[in-house]
Amino acid sequence: MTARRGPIVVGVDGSAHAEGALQWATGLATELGVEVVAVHALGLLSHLQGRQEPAQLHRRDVQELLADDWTAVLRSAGVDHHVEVADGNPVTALSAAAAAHGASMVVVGSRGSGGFPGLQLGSTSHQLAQHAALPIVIVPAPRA
Amino acid sequence: MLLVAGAPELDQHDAGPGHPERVERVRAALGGLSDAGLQDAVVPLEPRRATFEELSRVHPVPYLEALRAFCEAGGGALDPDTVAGPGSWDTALLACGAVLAAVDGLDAGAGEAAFVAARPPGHHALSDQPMGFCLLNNVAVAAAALAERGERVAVVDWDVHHGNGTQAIFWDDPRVLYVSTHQWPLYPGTGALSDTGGTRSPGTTINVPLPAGATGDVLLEAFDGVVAEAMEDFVPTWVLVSAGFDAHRADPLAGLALSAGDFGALARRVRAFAPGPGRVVAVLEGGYDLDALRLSAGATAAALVGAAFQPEAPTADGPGAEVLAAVRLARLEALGLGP
Repeated sequence: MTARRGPIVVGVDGSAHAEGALQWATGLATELGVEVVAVHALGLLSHLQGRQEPAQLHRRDVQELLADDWTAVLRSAGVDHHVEVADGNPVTALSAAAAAHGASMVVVGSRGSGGFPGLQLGSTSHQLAQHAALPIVIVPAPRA
Repeated sequence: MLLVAGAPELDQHDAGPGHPERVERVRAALGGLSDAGLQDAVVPLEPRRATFEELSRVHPVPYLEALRAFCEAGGGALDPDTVAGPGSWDTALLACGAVLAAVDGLDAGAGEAAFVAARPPGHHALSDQPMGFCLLNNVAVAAAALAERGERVAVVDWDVHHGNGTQAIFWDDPRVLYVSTHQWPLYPGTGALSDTGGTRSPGTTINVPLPAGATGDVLLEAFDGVVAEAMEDFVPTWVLVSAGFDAHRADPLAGLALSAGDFGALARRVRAFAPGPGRVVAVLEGGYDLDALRLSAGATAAALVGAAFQPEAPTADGPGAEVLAAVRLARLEALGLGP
């Protein structure tokens, strides 16, 4: 008897980096037959990106983007998935989602920024890699 | 007299082009004090830097050393919201030092209240992690210093975002009462009304999570009700205010609907929570619309010294009043007094 694998949690923000991560996770999820949980973290600056608007409208817009555009690759591949919008920084949001769903791994794109020495300081992927209690996959940025 | 700390000329913290957390915020807040006609009441505080010893009551030394080294190496993005540069470390020390100087100035009898216009803000900073524009937790450092002297400190945080850092730092500390009114859901995703403090300090955290569109009357009802009750039980000897002004209706980062007049009314309540003159310090946290910040800071500072300045009428009739009964119930349950 084999243990059931947990879902793959993927950080998604509409960037090319995140899309690369989601594509990689889609391929693996197809092979393994597991679910994908696509998570987007709303940061403090999220509400300043694009037009200025009430926070609740921005949240709704992001939820629609996440469910429609940003996760189109999952639908195309027929992968079982769902999406979540969380408040906070991406490391906290992804870690919480992974714990809540009993994830088998977290997949994020490599942004190339950050990567600072010492303690809790660093980019999302760096911080996850330092502190997560489960496998982290960092997918390199797509080459131009 | 109102002790005022704020030294934009020494500010070297640059979060980058277009970032809303900028030095102009300090100038706007100080300008608001002038608008309020407080020039003759203001006693400027000499800028000073917090020491490692003072900071280490809240932040572990390895974290401080890493943050300093990071800034000295040129800095960069710490998370998608938070940036530090070469001058950020010194500016953060000045911000913490300003709150400590305000406390010491009041302790020496130099004024009846203090207003600190400093940045970067602090209430999101955890003991070992910067986040949400915050590097060091300015209010927590001052609260910890007071607690070490045997004081009982109430931290009232009316920033539109929950002060997750301050809550976490004092979660299980019976010497500090943490009260937050904030929009929910919103960054940083913490501040549930069921969060009421640790096992050693039940009921010493009070969260009032409010829906978008909530107006000043709801916050005042909270202050006059469950918060006033908590203050009567806790009996603070000092009150520190995490005075963010991003709950103003004009703020671009959130969706509460307060006016400058509401902040003045809240400040009058906070003044009454203190045991007497010279025991209230308001510390700038968020607030990113410069005009709203200017008006709100002026109204707050005026109220702290009993001056009349209401540049905008108070607001009412927004949603959220239904939350207050649940907040009271959560507190009573934490104290073992629930139904």
